[in-house]
Amino acid sequence: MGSAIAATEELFAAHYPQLVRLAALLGADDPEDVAQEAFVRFEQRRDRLPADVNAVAYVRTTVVNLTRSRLRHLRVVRRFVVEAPHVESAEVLAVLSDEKQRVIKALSQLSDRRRQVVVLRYWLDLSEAEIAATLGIRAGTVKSTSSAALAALADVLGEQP
Amino acid sequence: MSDLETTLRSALEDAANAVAPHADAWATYRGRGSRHDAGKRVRLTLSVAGAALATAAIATSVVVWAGGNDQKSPPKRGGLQRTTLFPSGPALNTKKLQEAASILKTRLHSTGVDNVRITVERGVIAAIGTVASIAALDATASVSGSFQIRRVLAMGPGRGVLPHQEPSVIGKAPTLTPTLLQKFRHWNCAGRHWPTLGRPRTASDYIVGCSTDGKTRYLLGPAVMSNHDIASAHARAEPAPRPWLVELDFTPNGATAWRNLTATAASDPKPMNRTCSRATGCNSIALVLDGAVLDAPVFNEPIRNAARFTLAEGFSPARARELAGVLDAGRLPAQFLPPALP
Repeated sequence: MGSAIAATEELFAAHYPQLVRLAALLGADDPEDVAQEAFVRFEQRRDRLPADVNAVAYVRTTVVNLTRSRLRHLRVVRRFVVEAPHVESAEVLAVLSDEKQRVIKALSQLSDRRRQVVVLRYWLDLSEAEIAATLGIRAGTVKSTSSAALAALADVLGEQP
Repeated sequence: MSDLETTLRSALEDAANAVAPHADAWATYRGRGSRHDAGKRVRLTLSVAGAALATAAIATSVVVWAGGNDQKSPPKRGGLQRTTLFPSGPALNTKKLQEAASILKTRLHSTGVDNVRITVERGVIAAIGTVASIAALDATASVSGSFQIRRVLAMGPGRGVLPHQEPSVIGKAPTLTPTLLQKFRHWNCAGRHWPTLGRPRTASDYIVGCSTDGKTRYLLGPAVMSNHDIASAHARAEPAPRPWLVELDFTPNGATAWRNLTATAASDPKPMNRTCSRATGCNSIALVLDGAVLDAPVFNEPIRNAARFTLAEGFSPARARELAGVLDAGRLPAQFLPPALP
């Protein structure tokens, strides 16, 4: 058990900040809560997962699912009083140039799925296959969703894709 | 890379960097060490609907991990239904259950049903989704999808007692018992849903099966081909108003077996007229799903293309997709049934 905690701490230290940011970019208004919940779920069912499970990919998928899911709002206890800022908050937008602010605002108008593909591709730099595995969709769907998302962004921003 | 992509990359990078997680997040995470237990207690005290939703939320990540492609928006809270499916027969281990869950998801996906979450819990399969999707799941879970191809030894109308005849093809089946022959002569396909005599999942058994419309009964030899011989199956639309087709593509081994089987059938003695009698076996081969005969095509000469067989039984689009989904996804480790109503 001690080594399990140590292993989790290592995983947590290495990936927690990135997962919080991922949740934020995907539009979570409580990204820290999402990231922590993802680790809790991973720990809860690690015994039942295959021994060679890719923990990072697993937790990342959980973050994507939790962010999308409104179900977590049903949880009675809000564990974090002080949250990291949400990505469209004034605090975050204030440090961005006008152009980047417009991009981030346009991003939030995309559907969940398109937003997920854009963030995983352009921020995490995942390959099509990795995105497909994370989202549980086909590689072909990743490609088409990605180009549809770019077209939609270009449309909102009044640019050529 | 386009300008837009470049701008997007740097905007995401800057926005991400502006999100600063707490420095002491690990301490907070561990400090609330009873989170697991607290979470369980909270869940237990939720209302029934709440508990269902909480279960669905927990299920999400597992489902994705189990190899499914479950990624639709969560169903709206209104109109949600749950179901619990129990394997008929002996208990299954988690691996088998996950395999079953994955097959069920594939089947549902092929019929366009996506708004359902399926998860494995302590020996059962649990699911939550819209009323329509749960109904579709319950229906498909009761179809184990055991597919076999068997020789037709004899056939007759679905009801009534058949006259006794000395069968020529039957004569080549030494392990066929007189009792089974007797039962075949008296078997009634009407009134029950796909009644089968014998153990349809056991390849070596002779069985008596009925066509899916109950109008024809068959005496069938041991299974020669099974689910393993199907490489893929898909539904295909024909120009209206013609019905849909289901195409089966065999694996290389399956194609060899199919070629041999059809050649044997074609070499059987031909019926004197077009009316099939059980004495001839009608030169036909039965495609059997869960003991019901989907089709029993007649082969008068050896086939040219053994890699593919097309089922053309006047399918509706929905039935064709459903059947192709079942044949393509493979056989469930068991039938799954909802708990019997009290």
